[in-house]
Amino acid sequence: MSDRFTDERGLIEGLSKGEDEAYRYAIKSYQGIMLYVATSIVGNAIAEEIVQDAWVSVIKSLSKFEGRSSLKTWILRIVSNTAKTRLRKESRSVAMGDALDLELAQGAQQDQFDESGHWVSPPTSWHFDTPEAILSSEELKEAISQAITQLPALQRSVLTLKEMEDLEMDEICKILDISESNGRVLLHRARSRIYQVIDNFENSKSHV
Amino acid sequence: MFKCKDINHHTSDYLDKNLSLWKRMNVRLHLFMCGPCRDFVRQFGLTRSSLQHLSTPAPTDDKIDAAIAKLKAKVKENQ
Repeated sequence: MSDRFTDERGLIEGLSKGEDEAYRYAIKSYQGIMLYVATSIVGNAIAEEIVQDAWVSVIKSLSKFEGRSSLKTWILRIVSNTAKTRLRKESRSVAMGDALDLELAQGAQQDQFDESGHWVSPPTSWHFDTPEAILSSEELKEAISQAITQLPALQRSVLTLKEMEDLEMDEICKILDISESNGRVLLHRARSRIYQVIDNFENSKSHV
Repeated sequence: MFKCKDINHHTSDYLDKNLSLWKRMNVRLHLFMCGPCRDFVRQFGLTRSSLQHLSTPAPTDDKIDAAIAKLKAKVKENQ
């Protein structure tokens, strides 16, 4: 794949000219996160359709891209706007609020603590001491990836946008149309779920 | 004074430096005295760093080909 596209200007030029390789690079780089964002806003059923419509808008509007944000952020805002417009058209604006309420209600702190707020049983001490050590186990890496895909849609989007796509929280909240405090709660829930996956793995290995 | 439960609740904000100075000092004071919470916060930090080493799953080549074909057709339709 051409190195030309790792530079945003090269990619924009390629997309404007309708080059197959530019389309390939852009879809490979952005389609996954676009789908997560669309699913968070409109649900699974029409997310792919939203992403496709968003791509058309991206291609049509490329000449208007001013570079005030990264190309990725700009594309994700287009996905978000396309999804929200679709919700409004279908008068489903409540859907997103409902999804958020449900996700905030789910996964609240479990009974890890006694009445005085102390650990019921203290956390296991992991033998991992670096991220590389954690990810060196293919089995654990796969379990983490699977747990991410199984997270509730909003948690998955917040986690992915923050940790893997390296977006700032205020930008994430604008894209997903949630408050920063809710964004931080969702991020903590998602990270806690992945912590559990690693912790379960560590426990299962230490009992072998 | 924060309890272990509060530390659990504030861990992400502590690691992301989103806590007020007062809460931050309270977390630090608790961590100074509590080994299990020190383990928890350190391991939570490791979890967070590990996630930063991963990438968002990219579509398969088949899906990319199909997406390109659909996109090109739609762009043509809109011209």
